Amino acid sequence: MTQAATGEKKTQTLNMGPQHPATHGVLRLELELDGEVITECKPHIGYLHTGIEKTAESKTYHQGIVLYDRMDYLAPMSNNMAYIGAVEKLCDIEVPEYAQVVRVILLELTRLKSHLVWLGTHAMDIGAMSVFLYVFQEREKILDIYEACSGQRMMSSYLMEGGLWKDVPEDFVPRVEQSLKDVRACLKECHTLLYNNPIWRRRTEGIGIIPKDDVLKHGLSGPIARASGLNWDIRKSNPYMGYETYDFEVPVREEGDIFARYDLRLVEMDQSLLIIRQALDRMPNAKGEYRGHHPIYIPPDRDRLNKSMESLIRHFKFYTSGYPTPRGSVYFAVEAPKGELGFFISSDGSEKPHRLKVRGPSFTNVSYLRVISPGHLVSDVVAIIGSIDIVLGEIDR
Amino acid sequence: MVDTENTDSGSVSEEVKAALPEEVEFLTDKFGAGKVSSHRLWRGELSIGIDKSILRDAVQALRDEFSPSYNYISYVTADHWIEWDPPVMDIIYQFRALPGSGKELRLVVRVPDEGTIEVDSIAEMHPGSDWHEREVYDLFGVIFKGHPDLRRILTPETYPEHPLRRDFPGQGKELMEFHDRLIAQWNVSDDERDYDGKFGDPWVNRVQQQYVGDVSLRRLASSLGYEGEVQEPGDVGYQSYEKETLHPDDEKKEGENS
Repeated sequence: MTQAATGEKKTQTLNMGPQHPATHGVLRLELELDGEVITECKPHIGYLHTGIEKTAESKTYHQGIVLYDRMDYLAPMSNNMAYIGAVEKLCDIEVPEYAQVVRVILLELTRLKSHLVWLGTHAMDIGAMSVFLYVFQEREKILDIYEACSGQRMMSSYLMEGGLWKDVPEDFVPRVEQSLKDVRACLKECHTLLYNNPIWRRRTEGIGIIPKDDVLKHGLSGPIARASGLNWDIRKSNPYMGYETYDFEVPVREEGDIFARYDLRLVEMDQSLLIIRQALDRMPNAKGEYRGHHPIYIPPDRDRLNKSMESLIRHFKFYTSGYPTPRGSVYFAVEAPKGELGFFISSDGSEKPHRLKVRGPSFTNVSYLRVISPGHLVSDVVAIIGSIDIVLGEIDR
Repeated sequence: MVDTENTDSGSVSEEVKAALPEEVEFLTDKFGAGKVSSHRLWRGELSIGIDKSILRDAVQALRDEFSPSYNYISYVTADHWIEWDPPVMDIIYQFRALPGSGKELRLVVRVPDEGTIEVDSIAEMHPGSDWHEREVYDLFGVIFKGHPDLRRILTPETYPEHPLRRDFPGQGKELMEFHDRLIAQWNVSDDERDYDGKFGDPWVNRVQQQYVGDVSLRRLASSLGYEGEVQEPGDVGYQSYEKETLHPDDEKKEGENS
């Protein structure tokens, strides 16, 4: 008998997570079910809360760099870029052109890497196991490039004030070129596996539709927003690192369902490949200093330490007490793979941030689950979470 | 390096006054100059300080009547200036005008930090601010009046503190209590806790320098039944020296003598 007929509560509560493979970390959804249809969804977060913003207040600006790799561990370079961009904006540091070009390459590689993991896990959530294996192969090659640059696979901390930690390795260009080829081939393969797959289409088409109005109202950003018809990409609207000089398109879809988000991300990866190609072509001409010079905000070159007393003092001051910053507050956002990732820094003039706020895309995007889930089946929620592409490390911080 | 145009203290330079941003003009015309306390255009970013009483109306007006419409909220956060006299809490709202224009705007509501801090919630106008307001409530203790579901979000619901307030120690409070209890248990005064190898307690001195190691070593010590004096040096490896040689000077002297 239906609920309406008897008048009594026939729903049941289901706790999905926090330890659930489809929640991509430790997210708990309190689902109110009528049969298998969700009537109410309450997301609970905070299981990974590590107090990064509090820690930031006790670290100097330079020491802070390593903290933020760990938030969105699938896209560490974007985190680096957002933070370093905010510091550079606060202190008005200039970045040499060569460093900007390398940064763009790394940022787009990060986007590829993050989207590859998204594709693999999303497909696996819905039941297509083999995609996962292919994309992780390619991801590993991109991680190898990271390792060659920074010495670390994931927590790279490679972008520093005014440029890069050090120059890229000699075989950087051929390696990136190789990975461009590999990723392109892999994408083609995955596309064949999924695009015309009837199960995939049935599980994604017309499900989890986000209306365009809700995108603005609920503060959604990134591929989700664009899949619902909002033509907004921070690389275009507020360009950084010379993105305005690259020739690329921002894909937009109107449907707003899971399939649109899938399709859009694949096009976005294609565009990333194009941007990397353009940046690689610029590298030989742009070749120059990988890190700028500044008496306060950038430490002197390592090889000067043996020759100049002043450099030694600056080096020592930089790494021990940090650098004082202008008073004021700035907000700098980048188009991370998952959406608008920004850092708000409020400086009281000292060497440490007075307040540092991380505006993570996943935090706002996952809050939309409570609106979108009702009316869907439990198995659809798994697909919706996958299509939103969340990382709990950045939600909880 | 300190920027002299800092309107945090209320002063606006002539240059800025000459070219008032249109957002400021709009708000001043609508709500009166008294309600728009300050503004600052710095590093290409505009932040406007407004009175708490007009917050909801100002946000609504900027969305519905202003062009371009500030229709997207990026985040809500707070900044606790406990160092000031009297201390204040800044509640910060960051808006965007989408799509396309790339304009950003920051509204700052300054509230004195005394008793319960209350501001109006804008979660009904901008549902995107819902979780952000919950976060500010959770971490700063700011109450958002009219919020549909004001609960803690990142910390457990039973947690009593608001950890991002500036008077909350970075170490956390629970650990401090644990720390102090052990110190009391071992009868070590605060003076002796400082690093002073000669007169202090070797256990406490050596482990004091490492915060995390501190606690785990203390746990280890208490589990070993350690009572405050080293009976048998060398039992765990960290103490594989005589008590007398702890002082750096003493070590040096010994080296010279031999």
